[in-house]
Amino acid sequence: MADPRLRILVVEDEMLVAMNIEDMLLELGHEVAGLASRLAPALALASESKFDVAMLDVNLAGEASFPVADFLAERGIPFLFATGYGRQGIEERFRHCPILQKPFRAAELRAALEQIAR
Amino acid sequence: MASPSPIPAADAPMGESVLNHDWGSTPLGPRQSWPPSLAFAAGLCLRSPLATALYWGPRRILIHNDAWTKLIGGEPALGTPAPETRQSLWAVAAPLVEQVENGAEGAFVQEQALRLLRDGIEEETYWDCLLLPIVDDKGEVAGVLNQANEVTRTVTAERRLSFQVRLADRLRGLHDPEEAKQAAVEMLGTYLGAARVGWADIDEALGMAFVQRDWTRDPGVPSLAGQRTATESFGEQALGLFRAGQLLAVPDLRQLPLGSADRTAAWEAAGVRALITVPLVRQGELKALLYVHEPEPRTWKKSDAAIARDVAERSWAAVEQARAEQSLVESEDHYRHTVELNPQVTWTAHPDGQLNRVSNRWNVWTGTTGLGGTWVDAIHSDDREASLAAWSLSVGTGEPYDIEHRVRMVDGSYRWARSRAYPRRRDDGEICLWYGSTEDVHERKVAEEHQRLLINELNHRVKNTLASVQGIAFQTLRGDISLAEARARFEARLMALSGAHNLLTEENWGGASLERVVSDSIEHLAGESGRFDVEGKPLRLAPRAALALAMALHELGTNAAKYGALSTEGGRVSIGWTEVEDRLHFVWRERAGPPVEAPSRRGFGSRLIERGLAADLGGTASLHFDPSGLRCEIQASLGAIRAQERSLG
Repeated sequence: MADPRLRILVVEDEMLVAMNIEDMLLELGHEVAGLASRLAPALALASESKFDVAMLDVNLAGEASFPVADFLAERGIPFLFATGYGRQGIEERFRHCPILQKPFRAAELRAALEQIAR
Repeated sequence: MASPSPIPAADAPMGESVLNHDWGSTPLGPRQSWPPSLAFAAGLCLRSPLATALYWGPRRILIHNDAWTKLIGGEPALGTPAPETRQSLWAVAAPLVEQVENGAEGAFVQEQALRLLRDGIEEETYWDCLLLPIVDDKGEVAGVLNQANEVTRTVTAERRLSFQVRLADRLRGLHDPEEAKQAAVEMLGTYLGAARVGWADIDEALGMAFVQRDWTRDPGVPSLAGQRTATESFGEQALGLFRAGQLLAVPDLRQLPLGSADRTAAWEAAGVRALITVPLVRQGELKALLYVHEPEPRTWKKSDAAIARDVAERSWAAVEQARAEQSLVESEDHYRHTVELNPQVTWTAHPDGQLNRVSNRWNVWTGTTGLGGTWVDAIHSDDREASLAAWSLSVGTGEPYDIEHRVRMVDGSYRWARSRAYPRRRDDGEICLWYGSTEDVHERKVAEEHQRLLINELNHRVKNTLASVQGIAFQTLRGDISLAEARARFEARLMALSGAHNLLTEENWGGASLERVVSDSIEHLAGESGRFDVEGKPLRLAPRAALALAMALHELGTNAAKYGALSTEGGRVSIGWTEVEDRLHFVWRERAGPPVEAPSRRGFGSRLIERGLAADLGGTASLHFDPSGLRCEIQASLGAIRAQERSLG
């Protein structure tokens, strides 16, 4: 890896979880490029900000984050899911993506990031 | 002309009696003195093969042949005036004889009834009688010749035939087994002139005989209707005969008892002194008894027994026919109700899979017959292919059919249904018909779907909550604090989270009032609610907003108690909120506490409020370290935080 430092877009609607993810990412030596807790701001951030990979919660206050995933997939930006629903909560077309089942450990997060940013 | 002697020689006993009779002591005088007409008539009488009598002269002196002796059933009455002989016979003959004497013309009487005592038994007999006048040489009627021919057998046979025809006619019109039984016993009773006739149904398994109804000659004869009797009371011997299908005719139970003397007395008490009992045995089992009872001894004729057996057989056939009809009607009725009242749609299909019968309920559901292509048309297009494939598989393999699918109802809505079918096979194993049912399982399917959603949601919430706890732990256990302090802070934060969960659980996660969130968050602060001024209009918060605010208020309260207004005497906190257009403006303000300085480092609480809360509420949250006291200002979009009316719990 040329530069192990990644800029990461975090889409997560639970503030405590989001803060935890932020801390984990910082400890792993990455940078949080943006944080969104709702679908609309997430879509806006995805199209406006600069980042290397994205971390998506699935349920954003009742709305699924799959439109964000579709947007990223179109642009070839890698992403992973972090969800309380587990694999069966992910739509069929995204099941090949790394899926972190909440709660997850920093090591799992690191492995998932390495997988998609390779 | 050489003619035979008018009086036959001793070629018949009676002839001899007549020849040898002491006629001289009778009003007719010695035989040699008889006028030719008398001698001629006597000759005719004695030579007749029929029972023949000659009434001669005004006193009707009797001459008769052997056959006549048999008829009158007693001693010969030669030379006696007829009116002095057996009264019953003369009583019948007298008017006829008189008619012939007066009219000088013969008479022929058919089927004249006559009660006769034969072999000590009185019988009803029938006779054809030819009466001829015998005219003397003066041309006057001197006597009457009476030739009688017994036709009892013919008459009886005709009467029986006529009875049988009437019985058959009557039974044909009856479709109720009990009515057929009753008609038969009534007709038989009338025919035989019996006291009581009835049917006893036999249950060999229970060893009981049961009489539903019977017929009695008059009200003086007690009916046995409704009576139950153990079959053993008939006695071993009689029961053995019945089981073998043999008829029993007893003229007098005292002479020919069926069992002990006690039993005979019991029968007699029930009005049975003489009886005919006809058993009905079907498939080797005694099914019923037809009984004819008399309270007095009665000598049964063979024909009585024969007619009783005949009636029993014929009427039982009618009873069985009626029972079969009734059972068929009941079975059809039962089937119809089973189909019509069944909450399921029942249907049948040919071995090739073509539906041939669909109960009306399908029509009630869908407005179509279900026949032809209408069945498939009513199935949801998404489920049609799978339904057809499963049906084809079942029809092809004979495996039972079982599939769930949606059905379009007559109002256009879709409901989940489960269709099942099983094949009925002939003896050779070939399928002859499919029997299917389709039941409405919509409520179950909806409940299952609901349950699945709930379990998913529960799993999601638990996992998210654990992730939140992970976040709290991560944030709390970092930095330079003692283990005891970290544990206390961690517990307090967990309790705050738990308290907010309790509040939401109370309302089934539909939301929580802002007032409750505030009061619950400050309640634990050393019972110092007197130091809080809370003001704001009622507002219901969505669960997420309630949780976020509760956590933020916990951090603010803890900070105030440690460093802020609640750490000194007299310090106060005011909490207030107002709605301005579509936004909520919420303020936490501390005063009269120790002097405030902005902290050099932002801790967990600050981060939680300024970053997390803002994100969660879809607004902004800021902490102001005014010298007079800490102030926290929160702006949120009402649309994002207000509880929605939900239909799904």
